[in-house]
Amino acid sequence: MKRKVVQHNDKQLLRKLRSGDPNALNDAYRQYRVWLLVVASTYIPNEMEAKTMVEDFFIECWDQHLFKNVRVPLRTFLFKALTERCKKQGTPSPVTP
Amino acid sequence: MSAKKHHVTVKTQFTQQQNEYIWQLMYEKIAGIIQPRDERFLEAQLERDECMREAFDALEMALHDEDSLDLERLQQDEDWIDLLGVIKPHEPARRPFSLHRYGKLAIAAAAAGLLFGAGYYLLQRRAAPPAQQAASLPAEKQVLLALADNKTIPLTGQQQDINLGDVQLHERNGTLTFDTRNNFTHSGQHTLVVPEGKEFKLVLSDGSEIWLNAATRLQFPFHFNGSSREITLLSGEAYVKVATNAAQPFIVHAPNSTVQVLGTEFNINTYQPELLRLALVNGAVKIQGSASAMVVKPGMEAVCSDKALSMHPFDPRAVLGWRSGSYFFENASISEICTVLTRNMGIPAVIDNGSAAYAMHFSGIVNKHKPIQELMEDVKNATNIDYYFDKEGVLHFR
Repeated sequence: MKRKVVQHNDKQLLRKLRSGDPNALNDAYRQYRVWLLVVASTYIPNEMEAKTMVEDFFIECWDQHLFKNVRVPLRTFLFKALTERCKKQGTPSPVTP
Repeated sequence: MSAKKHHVTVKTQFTQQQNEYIWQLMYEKIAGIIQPRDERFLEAQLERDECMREAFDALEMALHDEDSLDLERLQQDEDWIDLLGVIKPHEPARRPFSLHRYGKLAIAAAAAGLLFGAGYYLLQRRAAPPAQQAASLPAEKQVLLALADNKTIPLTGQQQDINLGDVQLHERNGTLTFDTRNNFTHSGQHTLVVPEGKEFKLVLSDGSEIWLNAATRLQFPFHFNGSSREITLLSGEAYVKVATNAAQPFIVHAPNSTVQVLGTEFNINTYQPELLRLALVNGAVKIQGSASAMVVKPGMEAVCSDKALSMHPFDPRAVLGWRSGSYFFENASISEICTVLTRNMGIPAVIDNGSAAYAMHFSGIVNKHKPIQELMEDVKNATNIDYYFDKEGVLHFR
């Protein structure tokens, strides 16, 4: 289960994301998509749907310039904002907050 | 699972914030991206709190189920869409080059469109208002047509036909059109009044189309006599699509300036009474300020105050977004957004005393077809600035 250590520092990533750097978006996406898929999967049992949710989430954050507003740690934002969307779309499994 | 041997039953009272954070770390640990320091913190919390430990074990079990996610496989790129191939790069915000304060005004005007749909959403939510609301909020305003003879016709949003003798008015889906007879008597200037929170479209007798944004008053005749077609934007914002007729030039009067048009499309904004902003989409216009005149080219926006006339490229997302329901912001202050909520949607919005929102700036694209709550949740998750609606329906940034 151990995987490679996180390569990109969140603060730097967020700074670049705020400035609209698409490579930073891709770095954040590659770094956190599996984690966020795990989160989404607890709300959306179908793997494909959960994966689409995560992909769409990154696209939407980008298209709507949402990262520019982020003033909390990057992972905190990703977790909360994705959870919000999952709650709206999916049915919570027994093991969720 | 080794924790079971501790058997100390503790139920810790976490705040919701802490609770969410611990869940976040649990997922991070399971996905293998947790930082060592966070992992120590998580372990300590799981030691302290039996329920959390159980929740974590259950989560881990569920995800290690045979049918569950194969995390190793999911690391691979081929399973995921290529994000860089999908997204469009952000265009850098184009600011007026020299006049800094115009930049701010442009943002304010961009803000003009914000949260329209959200406004409708809220108005719907307020469909059954509490009795006291009538006293504290003005009654919902209607679009009105004020005739030259001082008669006033409400445009209700319903389909209706109104017979004024030699002029027939037709209201359909938020659009006013009219037919006139040749020898008609309703001469003079009539005023279409669009209140806060509404939009309306008007088709003039020559076929020119005008989309009026909220808080806008436009004066026009039922028929264009004489050598030119002239209308007056008394206040507000409009998008104008002029029907070509070289023999009869189209002229828009606005506070302090006059716009001469040849078949063309443009956006004209006078939300700042002392400042006219005209963004030309295509065709050609000549803008006459109080001191000087300028020919505007497509893609350019003229900014005209009583002292100066200048021109710069404009960002269509910011200037024209209100027509398609999508609104673009670049670093707009929350107080600017509150102004816009009130003016363009009829939703009173305020910042509570001492709120961090005073120092906050918002960037983003807001779609009017989405409920405002979605935006507010994203803002809250990004900034920790909370919001609520009081019983009068006023939106507060906490």
